[in-house]
Amino acid sequence: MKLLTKTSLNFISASIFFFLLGSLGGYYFIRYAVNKFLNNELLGAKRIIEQLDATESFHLSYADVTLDTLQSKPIYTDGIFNDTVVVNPQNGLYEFYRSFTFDKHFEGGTLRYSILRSTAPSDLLVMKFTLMLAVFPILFFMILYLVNRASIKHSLGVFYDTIKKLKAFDVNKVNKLELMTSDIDEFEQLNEVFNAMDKKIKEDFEHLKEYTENTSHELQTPLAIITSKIDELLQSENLTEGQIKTLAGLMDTVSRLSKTNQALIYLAKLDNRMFSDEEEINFVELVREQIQLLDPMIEDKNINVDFISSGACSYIMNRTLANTLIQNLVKNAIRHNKIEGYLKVDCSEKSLTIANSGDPLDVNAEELFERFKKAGSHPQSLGIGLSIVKRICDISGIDIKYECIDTEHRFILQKAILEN
Amino acid sequence: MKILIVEDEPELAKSIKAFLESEGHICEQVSNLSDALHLVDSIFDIVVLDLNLPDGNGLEVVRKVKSKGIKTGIIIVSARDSLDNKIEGLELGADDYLTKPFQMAELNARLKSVVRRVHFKGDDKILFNELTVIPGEILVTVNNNPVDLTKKEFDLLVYFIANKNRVLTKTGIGEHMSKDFMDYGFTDDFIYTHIKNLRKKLLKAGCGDYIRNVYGVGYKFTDAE
Repeated sequence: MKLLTKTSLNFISASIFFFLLGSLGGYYFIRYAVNKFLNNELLGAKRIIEQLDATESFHLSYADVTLDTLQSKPIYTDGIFNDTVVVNPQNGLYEFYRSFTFDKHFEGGTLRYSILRSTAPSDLLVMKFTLMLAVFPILFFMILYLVNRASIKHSLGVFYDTIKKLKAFDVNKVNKLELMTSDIDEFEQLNEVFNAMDKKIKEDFEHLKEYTENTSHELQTPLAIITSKIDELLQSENLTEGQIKTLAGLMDTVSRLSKTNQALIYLAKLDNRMFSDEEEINFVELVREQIQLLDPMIEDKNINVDFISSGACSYIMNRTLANTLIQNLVKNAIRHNKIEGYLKVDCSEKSLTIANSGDPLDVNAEELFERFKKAGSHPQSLGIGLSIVKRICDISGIDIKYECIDTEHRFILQKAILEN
Repeated sequence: MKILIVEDEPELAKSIKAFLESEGHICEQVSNLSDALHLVDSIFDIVVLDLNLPDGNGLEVVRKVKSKGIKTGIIIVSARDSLDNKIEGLELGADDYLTKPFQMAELNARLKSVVRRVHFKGDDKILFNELTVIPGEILVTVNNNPVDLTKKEFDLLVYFIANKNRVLTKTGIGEHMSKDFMDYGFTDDFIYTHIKNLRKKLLKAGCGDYIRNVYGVGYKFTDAE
């Protein structure tokens, strides 16, 4: 929920509650004041009546008086106020009246006086007052609210701009964040902090890139020297079989070392998102290409390739990454395949499945994508290929799932549901 | 061939020089950028160039050679394997880019390929007894009869002939074979199939059995008994 919506909602709900309460209170207060006024009038009427004789007729301009003869003793000696409803004989409508009833004892009987005073004019007044009490503040409050909202929105403009720019923040981009300036101290401070962070992050990122390059350089050069020296030795005449095997073993080890180093540097590059150019990749074509490239391996193991393409399987990502991703998956599916096994590729619009026959997995399926986890002790596997696959999927917005059903291993790639 | 080696790592420079001289080339070696810039004024057929030099970036040498229009092949040898570096080097006019560490056989193969491209414009022939390889046409003949090879097998054969009489380890051959498509995290174990197929096709065409297995650790292309 937006800050503005949240504060507005709070404001509105609290206001409605208090205005309702206020209007109700106001209504009862006015009602009470009006009743008091009417009561005074009725009491005034009583005083006039009391001075008159019972037989005299009275003419009151503002109230009606009715008389009843009671057989009993007086009940209301002090008199009682009441609200009553009387049917108007002229039009048959109900009308509200305020009444004052008192009994007076005469010789020979009790007379009950009921003084009635129509409340219709005052009711109208009360209604108008209440309406005023409700409507004007609501109008006032609405105007206040709108003005307030506009003002907050204007003040928050800088804040929203900052959020927008931070969302689009990318360490790979060289340009600065360029946040708006604000006359609000807090936002100005916030933007200063972000600007400083932006600078620091980019500097650190540059250092990291340099470090990566330098590590690579520092390690690869000695490895190059070792390789060339072993090669030199290997070409000497009169080497025994044992010596050649030792040297070749050394060469293999150095090569593995170098490849592991390269793979780790590559992973570091992936983590630093150094592959940012994206284009639409046709996965059907890509998989086909890779299978063709690896044809000798497939032939060697006599693997049956089953390629199903039920739709255009394309995705927008970096081409180098897509190549590495598919190559690693296809190689993996061939390497861990059985002799005379099968390789199934299913390309559809929504997903890409690469499945292969093989031995049951002897490591935990969840750990499969971790670095240096390898099934068995395959001599050619560095245990890093699948963690590269996972990283590529992560940064390209692809969901990768691994399933193992009996002896079939399946990698399923799907477009990740983007979370905003 | 006259070759200039620009490499600041003395041990590596020594190895490269010794190797190239053993192949019959005349070599000059410098270990910094200013010497290299000074020396490229004289004619070299090939420059083997490291990029990270103590006094600057080796790409300066590429710029100078290309601006003068000298017919010199340039092979960049660098520990930087990022695509950007490669593209920059090749765009400036370098003829090939080799990532450290590399094997001498690989440098040799690239060197010969660059020599063919730069100095023979690709229309020379590689002869080895009854074998004739025409790289420009991707054609191999045995006693003038063409042999049908895949691109990988052809590449492998050129690599073998360029490094004849040398022990080539499986690792080195694997690295050579996978140079077109970088793969990270896997080593190559399928060269055996390529070699087996190549050998079969050559033997069938009546070619001598030149691809010798060396104690199971590598191969040697030779016609020696």
